Amino acid sequence: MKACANKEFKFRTTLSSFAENFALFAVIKENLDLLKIVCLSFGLSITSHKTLCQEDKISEIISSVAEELASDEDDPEAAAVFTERLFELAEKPVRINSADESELSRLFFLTDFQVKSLADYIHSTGRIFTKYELASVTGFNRSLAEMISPFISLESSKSSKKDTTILHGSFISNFSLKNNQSDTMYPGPPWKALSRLSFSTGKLSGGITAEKDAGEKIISGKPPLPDFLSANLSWSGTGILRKIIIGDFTARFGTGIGLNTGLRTGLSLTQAGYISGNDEIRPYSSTCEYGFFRGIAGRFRTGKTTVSLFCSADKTDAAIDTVPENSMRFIRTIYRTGQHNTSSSLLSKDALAEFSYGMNVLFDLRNIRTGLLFTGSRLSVPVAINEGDPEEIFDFKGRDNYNASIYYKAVMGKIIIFGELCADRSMKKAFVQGFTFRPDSRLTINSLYRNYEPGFASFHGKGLLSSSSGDNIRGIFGNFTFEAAKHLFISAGCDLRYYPWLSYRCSSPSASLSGEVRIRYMPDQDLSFESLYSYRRYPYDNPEAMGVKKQHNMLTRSFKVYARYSPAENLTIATRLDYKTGGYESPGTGTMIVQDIGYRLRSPEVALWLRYGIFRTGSWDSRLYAYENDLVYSFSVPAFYGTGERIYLMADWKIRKSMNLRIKYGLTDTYSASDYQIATEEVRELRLQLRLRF
Amino acid sequence: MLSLRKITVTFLFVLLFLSASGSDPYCFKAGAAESGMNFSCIMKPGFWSSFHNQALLPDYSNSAIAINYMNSFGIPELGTRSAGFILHNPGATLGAYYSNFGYRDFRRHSAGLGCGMKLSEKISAGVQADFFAEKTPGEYDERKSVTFEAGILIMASDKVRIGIHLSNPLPNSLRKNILPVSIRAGAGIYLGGSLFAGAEAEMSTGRALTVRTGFEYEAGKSFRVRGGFSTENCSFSFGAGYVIRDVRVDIGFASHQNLGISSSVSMIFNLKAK
Repeated sequence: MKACANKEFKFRTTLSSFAENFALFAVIKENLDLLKIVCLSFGLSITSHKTLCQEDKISEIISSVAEELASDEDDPEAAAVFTERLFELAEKPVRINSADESELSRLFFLTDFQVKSLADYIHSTGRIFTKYELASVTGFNRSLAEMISPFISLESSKSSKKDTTILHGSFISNFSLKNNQSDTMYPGPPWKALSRLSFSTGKLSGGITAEKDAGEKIISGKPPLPDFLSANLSWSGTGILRKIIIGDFTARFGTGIGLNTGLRTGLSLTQAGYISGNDEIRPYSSTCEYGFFRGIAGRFRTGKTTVSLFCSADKTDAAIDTVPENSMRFIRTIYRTGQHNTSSSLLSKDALAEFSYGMNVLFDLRNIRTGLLFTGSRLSVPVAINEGDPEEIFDFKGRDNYNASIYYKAVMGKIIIFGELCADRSMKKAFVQGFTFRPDSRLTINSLYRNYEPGFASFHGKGLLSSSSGDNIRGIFGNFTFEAAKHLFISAGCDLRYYPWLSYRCSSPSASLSGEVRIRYMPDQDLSFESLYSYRRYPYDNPEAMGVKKQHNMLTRSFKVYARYSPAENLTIATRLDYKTGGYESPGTGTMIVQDIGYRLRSPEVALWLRYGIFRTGSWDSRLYAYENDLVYSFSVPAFYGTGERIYLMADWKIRKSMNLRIKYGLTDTYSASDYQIATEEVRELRLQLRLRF
Repeated sequence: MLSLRKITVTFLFVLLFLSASGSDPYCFKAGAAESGMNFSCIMKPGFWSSFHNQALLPDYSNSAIAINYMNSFGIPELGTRSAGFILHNPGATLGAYYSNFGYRDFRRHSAGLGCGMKLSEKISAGVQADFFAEKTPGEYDERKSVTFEAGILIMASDKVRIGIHLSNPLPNSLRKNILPVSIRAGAGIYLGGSLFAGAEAEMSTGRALTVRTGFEYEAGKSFRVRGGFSTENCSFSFGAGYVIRDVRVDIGFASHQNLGISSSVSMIFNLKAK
């Protein structure tokens, strides 16, 4: 027994020593020093409040990743999922002093090894009292400690245990209206609404989400229900049965090739912390109307073996066609917009049924974790391809698919290696192999090779740095993060991709290259600077070419500078500059300057956010994205192009301790000159949110 | 109702003077000292820089009046005449200006009344109400607009200053006449006891991002030299200033890559010593 315990201790110690910091996150700051200030413009005295700072931190973290995600046309919902996950964490912070690995792993941007390192630290040294202490945990540094500060609670495990049996919950109701979303053809009103209820008591938790997009009917169908309705009930335990979820849920195992309906990992070229993920099944509470499971899932653990099982029966929007010769039905298109406000979209609503199932076995061995995954799906209507289109030759066709994969994560000295091999029904394979190397406490190097064969199909997979279709890509990625000097962090990444077969808007095998350099300087807690340079080169069909398509390389370059200053706890000022150049179809240059002010009043207890931005871009190709604060759990990264201005004012009023009202009014003016006249096109939006906690 | 011709002529006038002056005409810029630094001045105290960023008004510790004349490219019709005063008070400092641009067939008048105050040791803020009027003879309408501008000055350290300024932060969709919006942000540092260097970025509606940088060196007790560069029209500038008792005289010159040199001269009369 003692020998086993020693081995276990040695194992944990080994893991702790290897637990490296993979993440370089947005520059954020801890609690601000108090400084009294009189507001000239409002003429009211102000006081400290942590909400403003917390939300600013969240915004900064989101914006460091979300803008890149939003610009990725292949996966527009990724940023929304990322945002929701962060807000979930902020709403329900991780109790790190519980030292429970399942609780700590809710910090999804930490690696398995960082989670273990943190748990071991608390086991060995006792409770963590300040967030600054986190920086001394192996595998963490100041940047990471500050980054996770909005998402953790330092309450002791004893005090938190007292509260577990009490019913906790929250209710959120959103309403939003845009002036350009009204259409007389819509079957329903032009506003958008969302209601979300979540609760937890003891080991039981659950939630219900209902949503209506602009133009959709408030309730429809038989029985009459909101256009999108999602619910889940989950139970978490510490025995053999660790978790069971009934209703809507997401799952991810390994690197995500075979199965990942949650957050896509490998999000950013320079945000290395997201490269590896943890196995998980978790309740689904997002408003994205596709990409989740509806059924039952359970996780069991005995000894060092964890088994996860799930099955799901769900429906998806799809356009169904019939072959005239034999009346056989087939899927023409699968829709993922979630919009049901036109006659055609209503016809395609829930037209395709899918039954999915799977099992994952994870073995937690000495210095290695390895897992086996088998998952399958059956569609009610087969998928057909256009045989005459060369681009679709390798695309999936048929009704059934299954994936089997084996994956691992291992520690070797100062290196962590991980990989996954996955095959589908037609024995097409996908392979990922990566490593993280930390030669010095201030330097981390990551690299990843992946090969997703043309035709590889995984209905619910999102592999590391894969394409939206999940196949037809081979490439190598590398990045590093380096603490070059005190307060100065440099990170850079490069991704070289080769497409063995035709890809979207490119009618030949091709290659692309993208790179990014990010420099952060944090001279003190109140002041931070960040600059980002990125470029991307990818081939593109020449639209003017006759006959066989010829390709040209499209090169885009962008440069961003961001400065943030908090002279007082309740005042935050941020300025950013964006410059982008490139494009092939319509090359141009885009520039934008944005000024943000965040401010909190004492009475009434109101937080205010004001943004004023001016943009000027030559074309759609040089459009610019700027993340902006929005309703809690919501997400806004608008694309700006043309010439214009963007202004929004948002206020969050804490009516009671358990009740908040948030209002956002945004206005975008875009100018165009034609026939010697300047025309102004304005987009107005009003968003309201009521939040209740109990 | 405006006829197409009126709109056309107005539009062309606006565009003409936009390019001719080399900067946004609705963002008031004056001061020979500031011209010498190519107007990279939203973080540097000075009489006219107070009108570039009203948060600087409390840093001008005297009451003063001043006049300024700026000529663009040696063309008499492109002259701007300005006058202003600062009334210093311990609580809040008031400032006002009047400016007149143009010639017989086209005139633009602008005036503003501003106020700045120190909010804390680290922060000052200011706001100013502005009035613009453009007049062309004959059948054309007179364009009048009222707006405001506001700025913040942050003393990040003893030597580093950060300035942010918003001009006309009102949605143009709420206006009858479009008036450009402008955002300026910059930082400056005092190096040693006699050198100030700063850089700022400005963007206004429909215009490309402009980056400016400039310096001021105190070459003698009463003598200062200045220089600067702006990416807009690839403009270099230089200037000098001299103090004689309570009067300060400044001159400034700025180049335009195609049109030539703009020159400025200003005189500031300090009414009350520190």
